[in-house]
Amino acid sequence: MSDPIEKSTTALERANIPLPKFLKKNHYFGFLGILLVYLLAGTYSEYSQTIMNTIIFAIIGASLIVVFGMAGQLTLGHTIFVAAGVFLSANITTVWTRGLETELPIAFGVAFLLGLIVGFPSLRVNELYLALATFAVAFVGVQVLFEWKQFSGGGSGKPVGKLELFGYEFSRGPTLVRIALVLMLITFWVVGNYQDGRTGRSWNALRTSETAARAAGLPVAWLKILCFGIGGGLAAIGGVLYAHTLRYAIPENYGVALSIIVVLALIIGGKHRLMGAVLGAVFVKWLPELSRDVQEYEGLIYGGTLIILTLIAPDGLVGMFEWLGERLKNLKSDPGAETTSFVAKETSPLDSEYLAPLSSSDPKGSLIVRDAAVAFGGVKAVDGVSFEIPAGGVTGLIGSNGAGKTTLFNAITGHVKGATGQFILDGEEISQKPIHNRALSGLGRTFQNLNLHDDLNVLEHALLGLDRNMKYGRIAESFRMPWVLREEKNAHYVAAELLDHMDLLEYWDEKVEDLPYGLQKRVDVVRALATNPSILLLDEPAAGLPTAEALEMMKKVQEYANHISAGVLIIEHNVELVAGVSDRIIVLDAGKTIADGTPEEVTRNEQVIAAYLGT
Amino acid sequence: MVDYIQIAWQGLVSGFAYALIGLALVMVYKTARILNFAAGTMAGISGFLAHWWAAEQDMPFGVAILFAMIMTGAGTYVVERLTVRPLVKLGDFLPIVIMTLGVEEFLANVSLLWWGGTARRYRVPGDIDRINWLIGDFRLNAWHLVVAITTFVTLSIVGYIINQTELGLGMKAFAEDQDAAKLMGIKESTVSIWTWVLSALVGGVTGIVFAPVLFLQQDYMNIIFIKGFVAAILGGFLSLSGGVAGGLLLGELEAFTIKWAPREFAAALPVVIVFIVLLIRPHGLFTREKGHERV
Repeated sequence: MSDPIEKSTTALERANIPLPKFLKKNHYFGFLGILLVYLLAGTYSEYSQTIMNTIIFAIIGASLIVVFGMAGQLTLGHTIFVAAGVFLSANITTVWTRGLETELPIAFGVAFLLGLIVGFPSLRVNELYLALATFAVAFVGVQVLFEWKQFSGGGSGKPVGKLELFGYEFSRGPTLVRIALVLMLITFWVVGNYQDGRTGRSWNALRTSETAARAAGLPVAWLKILCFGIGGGLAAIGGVLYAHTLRYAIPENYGVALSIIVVLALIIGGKHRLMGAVLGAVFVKWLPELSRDVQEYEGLIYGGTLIILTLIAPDGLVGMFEWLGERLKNLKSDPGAETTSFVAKETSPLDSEYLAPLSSSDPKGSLIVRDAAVAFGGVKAVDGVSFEIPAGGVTGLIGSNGAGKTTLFNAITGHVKGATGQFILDGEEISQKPIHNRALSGLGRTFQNLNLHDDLNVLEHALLGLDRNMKYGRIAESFRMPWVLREEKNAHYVAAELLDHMDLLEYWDEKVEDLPYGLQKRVDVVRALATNPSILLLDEPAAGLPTAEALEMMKKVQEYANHISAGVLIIEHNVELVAGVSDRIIVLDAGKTIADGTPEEVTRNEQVIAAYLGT
Repeated sequence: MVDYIQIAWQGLVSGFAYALIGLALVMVYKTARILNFAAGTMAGISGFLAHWWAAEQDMPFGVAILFAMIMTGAGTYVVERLTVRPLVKLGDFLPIVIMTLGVEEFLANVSLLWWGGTARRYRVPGDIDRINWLIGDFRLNAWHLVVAITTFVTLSIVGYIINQTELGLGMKAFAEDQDAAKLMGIKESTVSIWTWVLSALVGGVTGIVFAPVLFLQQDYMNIIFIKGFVAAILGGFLSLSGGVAGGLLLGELEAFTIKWAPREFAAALPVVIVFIVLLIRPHGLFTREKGHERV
């Protein structure tokens, strides 16, 4: 073991955080697996039908990972995309007599657009209605297909033409399997790239907390629609292959039943991993091959397996294997041996080459609030509050419970509906903007009751905040272009320094739900700081923390805010703390400002004492 | 004119089915915040059991219905305890929905193995479903009258249970505020399970009474289930009477669309309605928007 102290100048290296790489270990395994099937495709030709079906289901499963596994949108209408692929393929091959070079792009494109439409209700409704709306889409999709005879051939269906690519005709059987494998490789590559990139991270974030994802500046609405578009497009590729396997497209095959089976297969396999799509497909497609008896009880077994797995292993077969793997690893390695010796930093992370450029001597974050008002029914939670905060200052906002502090925050950031009034940040009016655009304009916020993304780790929270700095496009991300990797690497360095500053570096790999409360509070702050805000809105950062810990955290936050010359607006009940850090304090009571001044003035104000400080 | 009355009556009869299933779904969602995807299949099994016992096992019709209802209640009790209850503590919505999907898949296949996939038409006592009365030009099918009466009786019973019994009070309390209800000493699992059973019984009645109207096929209740869902959405999913009203409205809409619009459109109608309602009034037609979301 070499001594890392001398060379490790960056936080990232000290914490051994791996940088994103072009190919990871799973890539090699996955590629080897696919290569193996590719080479053996000709040998077991009696099984080529089953192999084909497995590949197709794996592709559809991967497309569902996008919609369901990552973005968390339970869709039961996924087969309409498969059907789109199947029937477009049938029409293109017979009517236009063109080959795959036409089928694939058209199927992808049409299904992509269809996905955007189907995804639209996801913006307006909760997950319950969405499951239902997509269920209805699947149901009616088939009926529409039945009736649209010109396109689908009606109840008797439509034959699929030759398997061609640029005019070369291929025989089906092993060749088709090989073509399918190549398409599967591409699909998996693309989905895998999302998982490692900003889009996947954003999807994961909005799955666990939309509110917080918006506050971090992510365009949640577009991301939600997009997941249906991409998922739909990829599913249609599976559909094209399905058409060539079956050679005949019949509408009744693409109903609700298939929709449920593909969702079921993915959940059984494991909805967060590509391997889950493969395992699910293998489970669903190879089980009936075992024997005729199994075939008869097929659906019964799927249903039963799903019930049992949901009870004991919500992450499916992959989750089960991973859990077993962990157990085995823990048995082998003796605990304590693996703990990395943590090297203390010698210089402040703020002076590191990644955070230093963010330094600014130009104060920002002047916030003007004019006549802010929010009413819930008849209750005026915020009733005409106006104040101006100069750039770069620390302002405290205090008041008794129910005074309207958090509601005022929500009005400023856009998290509450029906707020009126004007909010001007650094001369820019933000009152009419959606939440994520306000965040992009420079509002960074934390939440009173911790709004974290439970199954993301600490580092990913920081990366989420840094999302706006990454300029690479989603198409570039799909194919992992060099600049994507470059920006991701840079973001990892910055995130690590930021974690180091907030003393979170050693926990970078922990899922936030496993962290103690105090550290979770810091993660919330880190996510907000990473957005490089003009003004930081802290909603009771110290609530529930011992005063010493709270003071220490506030010190770090202030250091960082000074570093980037951002303003801070802080809601806090701990008067000692808030008076210590603030240049100025605003006091709210029953939705109105009752005092505004330096900490000394405010704490001496009789009205304040009566309303808030009490005896 | 008689034409319109005839269409309106047809719409009303299908509307009864949607309304009852809508009611069954809303009931469970409102009290337990659970969406039961197996509701349609469960109702279908009840219908199958009753008619199969009566027609093929020579059971008296009334006894067969009674047995079917007992089976439905007991079966639902077991299903809820075994599958849903263990997940409730997790407090997450998705696993439970997925679980009910698994239950749906399982039960659908049980009934497929039991009865096979072909459609059957069982006789009802006295061939009531073949009796048609002519009132002027208006044709009234006797079984449709039975459907109407059953629906009203079922709705009255449910109304009574919800408004007059302790269970109903508990359901209302849970619908209002889960935590507060628990603090008031109402046992969540008790209320939940009886809500499930009641909902399944309403579904069972629907399955039994509509079997002679539809062909009795393994999945004959699925379409009713989906439309009941649409009904519930129309009603805002949190209002029992809204669900019923939504069902009747949907039945009428459908009946008149089939009269005037091409068949393609009639098939797509439920989805079109869902989309429009969700886009314009995500909280349903009959309920007011809920307050703000806390952050």
